[in-house]
Amino acid sequence: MIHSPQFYQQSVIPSTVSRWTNNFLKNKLALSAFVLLALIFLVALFAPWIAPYDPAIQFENTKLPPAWYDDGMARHLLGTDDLGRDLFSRLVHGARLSLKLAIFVVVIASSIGMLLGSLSALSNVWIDQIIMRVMDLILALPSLLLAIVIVALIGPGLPNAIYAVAIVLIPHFVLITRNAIKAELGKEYVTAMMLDGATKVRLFTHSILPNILPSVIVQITLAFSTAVLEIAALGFLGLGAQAPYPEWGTILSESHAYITIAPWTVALPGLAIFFTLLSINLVGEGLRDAMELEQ
Amino acid sequence: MHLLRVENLSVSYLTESGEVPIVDRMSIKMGMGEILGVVGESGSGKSMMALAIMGLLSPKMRMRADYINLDGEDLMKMSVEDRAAYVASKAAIIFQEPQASLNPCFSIASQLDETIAFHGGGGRADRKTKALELLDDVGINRPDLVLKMYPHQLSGGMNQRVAIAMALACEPRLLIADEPTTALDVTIQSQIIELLVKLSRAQQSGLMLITHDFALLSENTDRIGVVYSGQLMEHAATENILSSPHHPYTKALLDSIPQLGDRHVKGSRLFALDGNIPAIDQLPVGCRLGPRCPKAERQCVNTPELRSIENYGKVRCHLASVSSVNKAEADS
Amino acid sequence: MTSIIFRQFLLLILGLFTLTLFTFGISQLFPDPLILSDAHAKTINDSLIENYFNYIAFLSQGEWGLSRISGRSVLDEFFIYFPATLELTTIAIIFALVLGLPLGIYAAENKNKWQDKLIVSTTLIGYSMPIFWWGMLLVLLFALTLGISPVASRIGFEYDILPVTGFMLIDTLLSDQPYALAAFQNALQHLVLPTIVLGTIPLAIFTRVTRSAMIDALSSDYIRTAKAKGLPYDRIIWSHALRNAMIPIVTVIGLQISVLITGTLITEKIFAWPGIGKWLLEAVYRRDLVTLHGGLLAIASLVIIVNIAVEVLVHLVNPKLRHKK
Ligand SMILES: Nc1ncnc2c1ncn2[C@@H]1O[C@H](COP(=O)(O)OP(=O)(O)OP(=O)(O)O)[C@@H](O)[C@H]1O
Ligand code: SF4
Ligand SMILES: [Mg+2]
Repeated sequence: MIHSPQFYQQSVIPSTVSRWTNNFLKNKLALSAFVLLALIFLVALFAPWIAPYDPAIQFENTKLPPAWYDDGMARHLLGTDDLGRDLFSRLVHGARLSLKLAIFVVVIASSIGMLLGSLSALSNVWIDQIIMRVMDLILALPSLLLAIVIVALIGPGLPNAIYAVAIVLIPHFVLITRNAIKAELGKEYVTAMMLDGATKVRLFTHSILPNILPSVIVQITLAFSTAVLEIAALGFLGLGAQAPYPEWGTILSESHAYITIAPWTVALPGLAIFFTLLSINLVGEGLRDAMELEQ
Repeated sequence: MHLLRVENLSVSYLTESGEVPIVDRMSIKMGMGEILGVVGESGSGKSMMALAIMGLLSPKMRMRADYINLDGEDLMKMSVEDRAAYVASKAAIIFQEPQASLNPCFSIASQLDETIAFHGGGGRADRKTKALELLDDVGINRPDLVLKMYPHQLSGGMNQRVAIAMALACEPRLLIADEPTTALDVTIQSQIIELLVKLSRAQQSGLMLITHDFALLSENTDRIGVVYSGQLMEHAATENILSSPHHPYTKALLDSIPQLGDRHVKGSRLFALDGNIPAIDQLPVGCRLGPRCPKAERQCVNTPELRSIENYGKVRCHLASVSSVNKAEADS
Repeated sequence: MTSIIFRQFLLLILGLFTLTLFTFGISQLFPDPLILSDAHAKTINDSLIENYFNYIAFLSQGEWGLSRISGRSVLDEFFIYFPATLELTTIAIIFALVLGLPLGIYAAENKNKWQDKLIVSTTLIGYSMPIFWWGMLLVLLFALTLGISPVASRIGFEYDILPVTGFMLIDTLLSDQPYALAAFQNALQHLVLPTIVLGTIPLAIFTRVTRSAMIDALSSDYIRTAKAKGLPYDRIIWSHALRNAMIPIVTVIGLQISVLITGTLITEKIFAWPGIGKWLLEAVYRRDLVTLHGGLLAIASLVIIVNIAVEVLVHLVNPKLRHKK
């Protein structure tokens, strides 16, 4: 033989995570969305330092247009609202509030959801059925309607609205975790691991967790975007954060009345919500593609 | 007069970093009513060649050819629309997965009827009669029952018969069968092949039988083409190839059939050669069989061309009867 | 097929049962405001099970309590407000389908070309649009600045239309007033912006689902067979491929009802649309739990029924499911 088999190069198989990272980095759109989202997070994190004024301070100049208009003022970059509060400062603090609330909601929803999902998969048929039927019911209820009913029962205001949104987000996490665990338990290598005396914890961290991680990550981004939207929607409907709070939806609902006189007070907060949602959705989409999940 | 003459057909796959060649300058001839066997390992490009002839390549593929002459007309000279209509009137193809190649949402009746209607089938009642006839021709016992069914309600073998009936509805001069039995049970395989051969002989239409299974070809075909890594390695009359194969690859294929002539032996993947078909982006220098060839010599680092051997056929190997090379007919 | 319908019927009963358990649970937690009527109050005793059956009995007799705001029967009020919502949501769904299907098909046909990329990015924008903001922007532009669209409500004040069916488009045509046709046009104009606002997210979703379902269908073997048979291009797309793509599309249409009802709450507030959304929001603001209880029950039942109906439809369009025992 002239050519020995070594003639062919052995191609290196990269580890799963680095392959995902590579896939993601190749996706220009998702990458730019990620940068935008990171910026929004930074603004939220450093809001007190970035915002020039306290979001509640009322200046004399009410309904001042943004600085680039002829009658705008340089010291109020995005103008002021009907009460003379600096819009830029309110939006920056709004980012802090919105993201903080949304993260809180997603952490609650995902941990409860994954806990219930594991419970459902590992307990007997009855508990499983009860949990699944309740989840079906929550899924059948339009999310905002359920949130509204919960708010109506326990009263409007920020904390109640947050619980309402969290409850609505739970079922998807339950379903993912439960189905993944059920599928894993049916596989032969899991039986083999159990025969080898693997503990439940080891089973969970070594076989189940790696398998549900991609779907959970994608679900977290989806839930995050839903949380931001739903909190803003409740704020807009007057059922979430209440008036002085610089929550984006609440700001929008306050400025609704001044839409003709001060259109920027409507346009700018919405733009903030929109870009936040867009970047989260693009990142989520990019992650799903990068981790090679089915749609 | 030839039914099909393909000259230097190349197919490549378009990627961001350029074209990846999949089929390399393939030349094939088929006489009227002839049965041609095309054999080669998985991934050697047999399907791509067939799809290219039929004009069914996906948009990511590019094809080139000096000419593809089908029943007297050169397909390469036609516009896309003309070509599709012409090919549909002259040739038909059946695929490896019979269930996937039938539309899951329509009944057999509606799929057959549609085909018959598009090939000048006449009135409703006539088309129904024709459909029943066709199903009968392909050996289906209760055509009236089968007509009412959907593909998922039929077995693989039945679906393949339906697919053949649908191909016949186009009244093709050439039928290409791309591994028609690979997905079927062993017992059904021979029935389907017999059916295809019988139909081809009865209707004097050409049959191109693509397969992994050399044993299958030995008794049913007039000519054989051996494909390796996108290239035609040997192309000659069946009896020539069986009695005196010139190419080391063909010899290895023949040796790997335990009992020649017993078509129930599935020798398809029992190749005698070590190693695998090279990846398209990792082709060896010179002869593509080189790293696996038991006869390889120093000169094999030079790319061998397909050369005509007198009273035999065409072979792509430096060792094949050097004396009788006819340079004039050699491919460029 | 009958076994499928039977199965879905059982699921429907089960769904409604869980729902009433849930609302009954609420009425136990907040007993005082949720007594449906004096007769209902008399039946309440210590046995939870008895209370539940009484509760169901009153509900099935149409005793859904009286609204704390208007004093009218909650069930009657639901049917007064419901047609306005149904009209808007139906038209929004039609709008989303009529635009979304062809756009998705077109994107699939031009997969990875610029047309496809443009459509996919636009759907992402639509999908990320907070509809309360989107609604305000449209009002600002088309109603307040350009003045080519009405700002709010279902029809102009100058038209006096008798509610017969509750659907404004039908009632205007049924009207014997001399301006019936003009009123119809006016009602249509009032529908345009709300339809766009409510239909944007379903439109984005339908476009994407159609696109990916068509891409799957178009790359399948049976499409290759159809091409080999020489069928015309249009027939391959609109008959062979679309018929298969309809299976995932129908499933997704079913999922939109929840999205639509969520959207309706917001859209109706922006456009002062006198429908279920406005009715329920009013009830929340005034803490009218009886109305909310009724609204939740009615809408959730509706969602459950529609989901089951869609499930049956999915079985109908998918022969593989249809023949399963
Ligand atoms: N869509 C595609 N994209 C990229 N490469 C492809 C694609 N389809 C086929 N190929 C490549 O083309 C080559 C030939 O494929 P082809 O399907 O023609 O082989 P084959 O001989 O028919 O094999 P089999 O016996 O498995 O059907 C393969 O190496 C494959 O990697
Ligand atoms: S050219 Fe050389 S390597 Fe190629 S088949 Fe012939 S002998 Fe083998
Ligand atoms: Mg093939």
